[in-house]
Amino acid sequence: MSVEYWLRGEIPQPLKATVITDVKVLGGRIKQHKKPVILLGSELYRLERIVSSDIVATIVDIANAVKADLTTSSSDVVQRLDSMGFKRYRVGFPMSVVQKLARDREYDLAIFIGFQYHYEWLLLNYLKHYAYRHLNTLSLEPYGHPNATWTMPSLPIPLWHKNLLALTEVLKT
Amino acid sequence: MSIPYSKFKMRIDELKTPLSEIRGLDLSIGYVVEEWEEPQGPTPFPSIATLRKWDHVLLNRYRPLYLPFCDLCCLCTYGKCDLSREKRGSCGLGLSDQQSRLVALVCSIGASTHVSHARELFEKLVERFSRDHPIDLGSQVRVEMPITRLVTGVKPRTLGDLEIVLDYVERQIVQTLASVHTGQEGSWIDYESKVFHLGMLDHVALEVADALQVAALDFPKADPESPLVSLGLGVVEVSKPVILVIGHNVIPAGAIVDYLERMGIRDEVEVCGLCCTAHDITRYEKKRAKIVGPMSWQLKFIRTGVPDVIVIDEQCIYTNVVEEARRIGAVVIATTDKACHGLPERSSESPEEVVEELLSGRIPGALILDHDKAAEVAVKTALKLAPTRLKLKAQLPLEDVVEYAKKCTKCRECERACPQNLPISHAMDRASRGDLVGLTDIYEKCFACNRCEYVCPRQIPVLNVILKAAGEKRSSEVFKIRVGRGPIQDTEIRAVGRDIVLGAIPGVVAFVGCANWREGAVDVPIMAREFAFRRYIVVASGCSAMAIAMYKNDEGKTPYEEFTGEFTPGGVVNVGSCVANSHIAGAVIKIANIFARLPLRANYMEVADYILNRIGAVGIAWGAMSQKAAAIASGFWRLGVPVIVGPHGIKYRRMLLGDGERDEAWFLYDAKTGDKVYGGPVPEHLFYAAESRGEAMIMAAKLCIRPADTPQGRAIKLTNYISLYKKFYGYDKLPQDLHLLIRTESDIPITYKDEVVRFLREVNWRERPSISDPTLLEEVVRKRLKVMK
Ligand code: SF4
Ligand code: SF4
Ligand code: SF4
Repeated sequence: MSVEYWLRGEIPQPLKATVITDVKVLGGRIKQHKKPVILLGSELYRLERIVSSDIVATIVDIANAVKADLTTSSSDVVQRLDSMGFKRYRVGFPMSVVQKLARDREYDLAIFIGFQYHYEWLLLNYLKHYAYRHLNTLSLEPYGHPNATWTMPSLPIPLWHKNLLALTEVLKT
Repeated sequence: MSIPYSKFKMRIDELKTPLSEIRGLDLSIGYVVEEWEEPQGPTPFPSIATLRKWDHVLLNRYRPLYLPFCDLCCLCTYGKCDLSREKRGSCGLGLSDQQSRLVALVCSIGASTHVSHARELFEKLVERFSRDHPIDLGSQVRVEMPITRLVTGVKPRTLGDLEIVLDYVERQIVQTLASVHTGQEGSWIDYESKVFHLGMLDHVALEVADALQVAALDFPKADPESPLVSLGLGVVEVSKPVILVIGHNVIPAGAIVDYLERMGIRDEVEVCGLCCTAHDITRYEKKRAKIVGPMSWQLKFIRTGVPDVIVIDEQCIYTNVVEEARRIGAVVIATTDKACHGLPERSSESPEEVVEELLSGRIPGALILDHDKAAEVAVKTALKLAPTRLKLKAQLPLEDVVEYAKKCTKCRECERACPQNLPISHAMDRASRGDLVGLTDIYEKCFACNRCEYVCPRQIPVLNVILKAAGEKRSSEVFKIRVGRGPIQDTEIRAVGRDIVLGAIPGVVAFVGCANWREGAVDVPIMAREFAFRRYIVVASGCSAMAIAMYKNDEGKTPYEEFTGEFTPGGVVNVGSCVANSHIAGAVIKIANIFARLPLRANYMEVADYILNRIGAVGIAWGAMSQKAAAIASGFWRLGVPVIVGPHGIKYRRMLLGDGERDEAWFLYDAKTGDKVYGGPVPEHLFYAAESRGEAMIMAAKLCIRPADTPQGRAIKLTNYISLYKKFYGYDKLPQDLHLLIRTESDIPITYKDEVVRFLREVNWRERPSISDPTLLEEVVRKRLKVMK
C-alpha cells in the first residue's frame, strides 16, 4: 500500500508527487527550504483520536525545529497553540491562505497536515499548477497525496504516527 | 430585443417607410402575452453576449481560483491533452480555460435538467388545466415571477404565457452548450460569463417550474404558516403497504394520492418520499404524505426493506435502484423517459396485467409513462405485495454485525473507496469486540453511496453492517418540517426591505442544495439556528430544508417548530423543493423592486448591481452536489449573491474569490457624483469553499456586508462577524481584516469599541468615506445624474 496514493479512484495525472518513505530523506527535503509554512487542517483531531496522541504538539516541535510559521482555521488547534504559548501562527482560512501562497511568494515550502482528503487534494492541485515557480508542497498526511511535490506514503495510522515522530527527531538534529 | 423567434408580439407606435406611415399597430404572431404597464427594460430575452459586460465586471473583481479535478482533457479525439501548468491542448486550450469550460458544461447539464422538468410540468398541467389557467401565487403576491420578468421582460398571467419563456430558455441553453465544443470559446473569462448565463437561465426555469405547480396544483401560496408534516426514517408506518416516491417531479406522486383518495383508501397506504418529490408531495397533499429524508437517504431507507413499491420520476435517483429493490423484494415503477432504468414499457397494457406481471416476479418493474395508470399500478401492487413482504421488513439481528466485523482483515480497501475517508476498519475492529459505537458514529456521516461494499475483498456488506448497527438510532429519527411555502409575500418584503438594505437586519442566509456531507445533517441545523438567533432571515430549500428539520432542541422542538415561518428576522423559512430556490432569488429581486422601486422589467444589470451593492444575502450549500446545484449557484452569482459551499464543494473546479489586498478591484462609482471611490472588499467573495462549519459561519456573516450599509447597519453586521469569530477562535481574538471593513469610526461596533480602536491604531487605519449610492455600472451613474438634472 505504501507507495501508492491513497484514493483508489485516483487516475494518475501527468505530474505526480514523489512518495518519500525514508524520514531522513524527508527531513532533508524540508531542511533545504528557507521559508516553510505548515497548514494545519480541521481534521487533525480525528487522527489524534486514532493514535491517542497530541499531534499538534508534534507539529509545534517540527515548526520550532525548522522555524516554520503555522496557519490554521481550526478553532481547536488555535486554542491549543495558545495554551502552548506558541506565537508564530495565524488564523487563516485555507482558500485565502493558498491564494496568498500563490500571490505573495512569502514562503518556499507549504506543508499540509490534518485536512479532509479531497479538500487538500484540490488545494495542492491549485498550488501545483499556479504557484510552482516559487513553491514546493509536502503532505505529511497518512494518505499518499498525488498533487503535492512530495508526500508521505499511505500507511496504517499508527505506523504513520511513528514516522512523524521520527521525522521530528531528524529535524531537531 | 433578441427574441429569436418568428412568433412574438410587438407594438409599433410609429413606423415610417418610403411607402407608408403606420401608427399604433399591435402585432401578435404566435405567442400572445398580454402587455404590461411597466415599460420594457434594456435587456429583454438576453442572449449570451447581452449581459457579458456585467459578467466581466464581476469576474475582474472575483477571479477564479482554479482547483483542477483533472489535469488532462479528453473531450475530443485529439486528446488526451496534458494541460498541466502552462501547457495547452491540441486545440489551443489552457488549463484555466478548460476548467471554466467544464463548469459551463456542468451548468448546461444542470440548467437543461431544470428546464426539461419545467417543460414536462408545463405540458402535463396545461393539458389538465388549460393554457388559460391563471398564475395566482397568493393574494399577497402581486409581483409574481420576478426572475422571469427581470430576465425576459414577460409578465406571465396564465400557464400558456410560460411557453415563450420556456422556448427562450431552451434555445439559449443549446446556444451556450455549443460553446464548449472543441475550437469554440477560447478564454476563461468568456466561459465564466457563459456559466453565469446558464445560471440565470436556470433560475428562470426553476421559477417557471414552481409557478406551474403552485398555481395549478394548489401548493401553499406564500403561506408562512403552512402545515407541519413528519420527516425521518422512523416516521413510516411499517404495518401498512408502503409506496416510496423518489425524485423531483410531483405529478406521478400526486396521481398516487389522487387515486387513493378516489378509491377511499388513503388511510390504508403509506405514501412517503425522498428528495424533492417528497417536498412537493407534502406541498400537494399538505398533511398526510411523509418525508423520509434527503437524496442521500435512499439506500438507508430502501435497505430497511420497508418500501413495497418504489415510484421514481426524475433527477437524483440512485441509478442502481432496480437492483436494490430486487434485493428487498420490492418493485420499481419508472414514470419518465428520462429515467427508464432498463425496465420494460407497460404504458399501454391494462393495470391488472401489469400488476400481475409485477407480482409474479416476471418483471422487476415497469416503465409507465401514463401517470394515472402508473398510480393505479403502484397502489394495486403495494396492496397485494405488502402482506407477502412483512418478514422482509424485519431487521437483521445484531449478532450478524459482530460476525461480519470478525471477518474484516483491516485491509482498508473500503476506506480508500469511501468518498469521505471514514475510518471503517477501525470501527469494524471495535465491532468485532461487540462495541458498535464506531459504526454508529460512521452512520451519522455516511451518505450511503455503497462504494465501500463494492470493494471489500471479504464480501462484507459494509453499508448494511453500518445500517444495522445504527438500527435503533434510525428508527428514532422522527422530526417535523414545515411544508414548503412557495414565494415570499410582497407585504413581507415591504416590511423588511428597508432594514435589509440599510443593514439593520444583518442579512438573509439561504441554506440550499444537498446537505449530505459528513455531519451535514448536524451542521446545517446548527448554522440555521445560530443565524436565526442572531436575527438574520434564514431561508431554506431542497434537501437542506430537510436537514434543518433533523434537529431537536432541549424541549424536543425542531427548528420549524421553534422559529416562525415568516420572512422576518429570526424566521426559518422553508420555501420548498429545489425549484423553489427561485423564491429565494425572487425575494432579493423583489427587495430591489418593491422597496427600492427599481424597474423590474428586463432590467437585469441594474437590479443585479443593486443586489450586489446593497442586499446582504448569502447562500450556503453544504453537501456534495449535482450539476443542478452548480447551475443554481451560478444564477446567484450573476445576481450578485455570494455562495459558500462545504469542503466537498471545492470539487466544483474553481472558486470565485475577491482579494482584499488588491485595492483597485474595490473601486466603484458613487452614483450621486459619478466619482470613482473605494468601497472596500465587500462582499469579499462570490464563491467560496469553507473547510469547516465554523469557518462557513464566520464567512457568511462577512459576506452579508455591502458597500451601501449605513454606519449603524455596518456596525450590526460587524458585531455578528466579530462575535462569531470570537466564538470560534477565542474571546481575545479579532478578525485581522477589520481595517478593510470599517470605513469611519461610526462603523465600529459599540460592544467591541475599545479593542477594535486599539487594533485600528496598530494597523495604521485611516478613515475612508462611506458611499450611500454605490454602483459598478456607468449606466446607473448616467441615469442618476440625468434624474438629478
Ligand atoms: S478539446 Fe482540446 S484540449 Fe480537449 S482533448 Fe480536444 S484538443 Fe485536447
Ligand atoms: S456507503 Fe458510507 S461508509 Fe461506505 S463508502 Fe459510502 S459514505 Fe463511505
Ligand atoms: S474492505 Fe472489508 S475487509 Fe477490508 S477493511 Fe474494509 S470491511 Fe474490512
